[in-house]
Amino acid sequence: MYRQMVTCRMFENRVNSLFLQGKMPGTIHQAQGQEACAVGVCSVLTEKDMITSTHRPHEHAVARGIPLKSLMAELFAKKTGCCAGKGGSMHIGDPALGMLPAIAIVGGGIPIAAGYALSFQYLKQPSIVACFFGDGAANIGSFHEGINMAAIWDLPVVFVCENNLYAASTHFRKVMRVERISDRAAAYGIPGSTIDGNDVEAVYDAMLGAVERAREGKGPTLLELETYRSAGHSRSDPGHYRPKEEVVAWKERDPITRFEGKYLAEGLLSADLINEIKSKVEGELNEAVAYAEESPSPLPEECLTDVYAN
Amino acid sequence: MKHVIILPDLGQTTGEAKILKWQRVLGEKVESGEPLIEVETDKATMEVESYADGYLREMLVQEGDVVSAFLPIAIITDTADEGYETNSVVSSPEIDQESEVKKANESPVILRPASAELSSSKVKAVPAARALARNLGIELNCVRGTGSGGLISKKDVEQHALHSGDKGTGTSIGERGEFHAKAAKAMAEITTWSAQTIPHFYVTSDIDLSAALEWREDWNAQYPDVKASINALFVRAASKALLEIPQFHMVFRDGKYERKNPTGDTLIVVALDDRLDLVPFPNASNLSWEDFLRRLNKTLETSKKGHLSNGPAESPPVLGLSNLGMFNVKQFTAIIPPGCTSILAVGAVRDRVIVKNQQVGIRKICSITLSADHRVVDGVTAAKFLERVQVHLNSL
Repeated sequence: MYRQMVTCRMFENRVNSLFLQGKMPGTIHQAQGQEACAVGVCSVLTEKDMITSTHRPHEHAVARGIPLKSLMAELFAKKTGCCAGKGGSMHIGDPALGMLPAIAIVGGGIPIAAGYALSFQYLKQPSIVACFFGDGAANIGSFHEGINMAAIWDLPVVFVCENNLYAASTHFRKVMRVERISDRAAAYGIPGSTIDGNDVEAVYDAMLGAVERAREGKGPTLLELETYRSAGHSRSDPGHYRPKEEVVAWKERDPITRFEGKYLAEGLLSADLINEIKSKVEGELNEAVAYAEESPSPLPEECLTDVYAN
Repeated sequence: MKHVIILPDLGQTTGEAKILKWQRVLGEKVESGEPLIEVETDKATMEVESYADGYLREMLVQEGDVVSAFLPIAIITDTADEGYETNSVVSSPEIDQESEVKKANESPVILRPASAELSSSKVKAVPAARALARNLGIELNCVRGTGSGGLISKKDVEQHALHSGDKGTGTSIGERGEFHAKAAKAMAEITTWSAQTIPHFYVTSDIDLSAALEWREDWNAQYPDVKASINALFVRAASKALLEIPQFHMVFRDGKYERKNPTGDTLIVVALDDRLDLVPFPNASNLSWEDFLRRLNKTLETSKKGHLSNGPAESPPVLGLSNLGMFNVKQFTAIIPPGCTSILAVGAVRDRVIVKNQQVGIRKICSITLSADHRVVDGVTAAKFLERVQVHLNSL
């Protein structure tokens, strides 16, 4: 899990650097700081399970195990990308590898996740769906409809709300009366809990229970993971709306440094091992970027392929 | 090793940013991820981070500059005093050859305010004017604001677009001569804007030019030094017809109707070697044919030399006129220029067999098509206009 968190972080940092160099087209929504959520959730899933993601999907995809090469190529809009270069940053994913192409519409993934879970239930498959969304999506109508529907039919889905405090620039306290987003689970008659989303083990444990419940046919769970994105909402957002002290306080709760601190002290992790992991990931990223840069762009005559369903 | 730091594309609607403040001094050590410079985009002030570790060796932009995305802003080297090539900023491998940098050489992209005074006084413009100027690729600094305190309205931007042909930013382009990049861009933007925002509709009529052409033949024989072109016949007839139909003098702007004084002025599309130009021609249909033709010919000649004799009109023409008859085009439709309510497209004169009063005869027929803004003009009005053009052409 540590290695995966490091891969997520280094992937995002590399993407940022490529963006600053003008090599990465379009704007991007990055998730540095939220690694424990993506990794803790995805570590519990099996190959046949499915995740749905959001406009901030890079770390979900990395944690789900989509190859870095096909992710990077997609971000470069190349033919070899996981969506053949037609999705870009906000739509990465590969259903064959357990991730629906990300749904960038806020809250849009919630009913889709319920629908996917319904198909698992109907086909009597033992798989489950993990549905990522943010605190902003919890105030969208589809949140109510999707979760209620999943609840009444006991669908095998885990609703994972990554509460990073801000819906773009709006603090969630400004737009919610409830103390916790997980309190809303009561409205649908399903269990809900709030977990430290920067503690990868806590996320893993909570997810384990929720997945077990879903697989046993007992229905959905709402998990609220409290976390923080250290970057702005998108690359054109400087994040000035956040108090400096808040940024500093959350930096101290960084999921990766916390994990390192704990296991260095326990002796399970060493500085050498950390360096080894980081340099290995660095190498993989170099390969992924070279692969993406060398890959061909989609041809104009292919613009309609893979776009419509047969 | 040298690293060229560029300005990333941080804006949400524009590709440029204003340099506010350098956060670092020359020679200082910087690390990847540390802010180098504070910039102002269309939405916010932001910091641009370095993506290289090293020492800041060159600051390529100054505070107050407005810089296009992807242009180099700084040079960083790995060590504090290593030598590096200084003249290869643009050809540096760090920069994608196909990026804006190359195109940037063709036009000034770092806009440095001429004086401190200018930099401190922001251009005042209403949001709609800013949006239009952006669409048309016009610098607001160059637009004269007619509102209080020099506030620029949408109308001012339209005026500027119509009358800036002499600066090469005006209108459009053909494939005839050298590619005129700026004019091509302006044409692309103006036509896109018009086609997307004006609900065009088209009414075509076959005009019988037999009488007019007979008159023209006589005239040209009599006045060989002030010849009348077919185009001239249409300009005069269209000006007269325009004055008779008040509906053409409404303009729909910003969700409101605005009445203009009927002037009979026209906006003539002129083909230059490397582009098209839109030449305003103040109404002269009340003058004698001789004076009218002298004035028209002078206006068109001056415009072909690239100098406009007519300054910005108080009220721009509402009717455009485009003629492809000389290229044997049977009929075509034109895009309404910004600020106009319609444009008349004139095709070639052809001999046609016509049955009239139970008699078969050969007549000189010309198809003309009016493109009109349906927010202002309806089909009946457009048809009436074409009818009046025919009447005036019959009674020269």
